[in-house]
Amino acid sequence: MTGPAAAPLSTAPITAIAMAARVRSGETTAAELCRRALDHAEALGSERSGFTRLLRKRALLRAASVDKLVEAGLDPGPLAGVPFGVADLFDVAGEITTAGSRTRLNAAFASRDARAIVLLEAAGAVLVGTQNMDELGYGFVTMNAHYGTTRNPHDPDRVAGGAAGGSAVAVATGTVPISLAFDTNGSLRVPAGLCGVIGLKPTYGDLPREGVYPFVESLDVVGALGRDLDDVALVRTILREGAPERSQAPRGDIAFGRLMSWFDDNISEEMRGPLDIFWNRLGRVGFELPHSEIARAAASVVIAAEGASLHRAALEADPMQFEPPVRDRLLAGLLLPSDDYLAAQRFRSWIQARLRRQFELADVLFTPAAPGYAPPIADPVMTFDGESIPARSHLGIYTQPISLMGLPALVLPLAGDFPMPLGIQLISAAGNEPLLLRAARQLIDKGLCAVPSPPAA
Amino acid sequence: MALTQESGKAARPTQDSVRTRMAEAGISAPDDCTPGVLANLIVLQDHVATLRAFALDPRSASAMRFEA
Repeated sequence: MTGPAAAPLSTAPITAIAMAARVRSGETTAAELCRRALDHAEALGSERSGFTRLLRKRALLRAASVDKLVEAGLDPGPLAGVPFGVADLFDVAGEITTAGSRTRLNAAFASRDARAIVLLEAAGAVLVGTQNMDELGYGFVTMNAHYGTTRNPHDPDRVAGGAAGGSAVAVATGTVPISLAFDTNGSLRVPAGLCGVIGLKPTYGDLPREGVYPFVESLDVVGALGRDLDDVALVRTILREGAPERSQAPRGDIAFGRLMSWFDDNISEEMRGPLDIFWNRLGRVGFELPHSEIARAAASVVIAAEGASLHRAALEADPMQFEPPVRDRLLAGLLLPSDDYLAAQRFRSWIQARLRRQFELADVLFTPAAPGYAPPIADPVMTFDGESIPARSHLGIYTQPISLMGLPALVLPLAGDFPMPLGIQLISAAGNEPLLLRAARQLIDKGLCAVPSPPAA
Repeated sequence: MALTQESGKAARPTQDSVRTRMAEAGISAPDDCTPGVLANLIVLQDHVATLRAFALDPRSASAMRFEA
């Protein structure tokens, strides 16, 4: 095993910001970038590209309009000609928003694009397709009975993680530099960690959810995945539409702290060594985050109750339309007493208030993004309290409590020559994404974190 | 069958109770769903037990605030 010894930040493929600069300068065209992304996705195929649907006609029309602006001497925006994808629960005008579910096969076409797509395209970006996910977002593996299994680009026999695995894989393979995804309980952070890319889960409510098919409304957020930190930060800025920051990143040294207890239990051997080295380099300060196991329990109750309520009509109509693991979880959620749901929400409120004090002791807290390497597709299990349990429902053990708390989190790959990517999750106080981004920049610049190069196809 | 239960301690669901509760909830699902639903319900019940063990005064926090 090699420690986090300054593996250089990957320079290929180029970043979204560099792509846009080349389009604006006339060095390349949006149409060329768009064709390249579409061809790459097609060549890889659905399981390896992460894409479920390529929007070739729409994308080439949009790219042509970007190129016309450049030809006319106008600026198409900071993402001029940059191809991107979205998880298949963002509305795309004229398409069915499947949310990864067969229950949506006969749904009406979306009348307009999701707000987040509108904003990225207004900044010059070009939507090229939709990406695979666990059915309805209920899972951590992206093994979808209807739309296929998305494979980890670093080992195609292993899961990509989920629920938004397609969005992470599309970025990890260099097919697109950025993806828009969602995060309910770790949906984009777990695959970011397992596929070795950067994933930003913002503070609850910070980015627009209009036109995004809901799953758990009190937890769902829109987020971004990318290979480059500045790309991810730029996407966030665009999606915020100029909203003032709730807080500014403090100057000076950032105080890091590792979360212990719940977040230190069940870590695999392959993760523990590199994580300890990373921790030592950051000063070896540790903190407890009391009641994390209760937060995880509350999150599970909230998800089950809200998810089941949202899909009650489909469950009544024909529960067999759902894939069995999702169906059984939703049906169980439907049987939960309302008092249990309210107790979970009450706990959420309580712990959020308590947490504000935690950040008086440390600026940025960190945990593993997932317990270890991506589990194998043939036997997707992990070890928890000494027992082998399904990864589908448990890979998010370190992300779930943070979702309930509503906090922003950013996943970065640890630098090092590992057989598979290992991700860490950085966490800041609510509304303190500027600090989170500055901390991530510091870790990359110190050589502690780096996005691995895309594996050869 | 009448069930006597210690107050505050939830009885474990069974395949029969799952069938009854699904029927009461208006869900008609084939019987081969029952074991999977039961297994998930037991997991949820464990989560609820964790939650209930933490005695939070209902007036100390609102259940209706969702923002961070």
